[in-house]
Amino acid sequence: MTTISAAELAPRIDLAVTAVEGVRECYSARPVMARAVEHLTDVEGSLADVDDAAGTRAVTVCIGVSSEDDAAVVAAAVATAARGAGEDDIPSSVRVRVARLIAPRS
Amino acid sequence: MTPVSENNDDIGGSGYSLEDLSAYLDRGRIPRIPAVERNAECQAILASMERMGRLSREIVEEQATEPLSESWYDSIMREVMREFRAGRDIPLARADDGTELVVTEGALYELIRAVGDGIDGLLVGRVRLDQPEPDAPLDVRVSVSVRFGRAMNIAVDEMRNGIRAAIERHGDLRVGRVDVTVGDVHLDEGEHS
Repeated sequence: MTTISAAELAPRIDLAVTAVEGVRECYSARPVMARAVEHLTDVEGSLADVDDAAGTRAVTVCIGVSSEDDAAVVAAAVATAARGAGEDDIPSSVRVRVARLIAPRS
Repeated sequence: MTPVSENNDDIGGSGYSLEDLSAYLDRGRIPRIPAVERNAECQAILASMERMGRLSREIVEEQATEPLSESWYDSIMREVMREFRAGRDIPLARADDGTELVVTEGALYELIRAVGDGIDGLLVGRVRLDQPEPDAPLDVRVSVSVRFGRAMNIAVDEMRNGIRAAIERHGDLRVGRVDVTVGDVHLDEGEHS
């Protein structure tokens, strides 16, 4: 089994999520403290949050979807893409948070 | 722009306040601030500010009136900020295999406001969402201002039906009660009663 670290996986997930049809925007899903550190150190880390603990992996991504698309369909496609971004067998849970339903510009 | 430190005006843990975001927007979002551009709450607030700016300009252009008053604008933006702090996640759809699909309460507030923005002669004031129990339909309460001369019942029906349709388009989300209260009437002259 090939294992890939959380730090390696997160940017791959970012790329995979961005490519999903219907995803209008991607936001940081990382905890507030992690974002604060990035801000203070002027570093742009990955948007996806990947947390390895006790042999399992928890992935969280945060997206914006057009208000005219079914957010559940887009989020399901995002979850599939996030799972596909890793090439190992670590059991993982995936949480997709739709943080914005974006109105088309009039 | 100096980011705010620990204070209540911090938006979404970005380190920036409403005033900071307003200044950022005025500068054309240059130089880019990653902490703002990568933050969902900041993006929603910026989008609200842009919508309000457009709305104000449209009113001035179409009716040759005064722009929306600053105090009214501020009160709406404070309300929008409060809504985005309501960070509850609501399940979007059932999924197995350890997948959770959720929508934030803030996203639904933004959606409801966008419905109101699309209705002629109607301005959205306060929005409240309530889900009495997990998996129960969402109850929505909205206060609006209707332009003087516009038929209130038609505007309210458009708002009520629009909210239901906009929310129920997404996954398993269902809407229960939608209460729309006309709390104000605004005049063509840009004055608010």
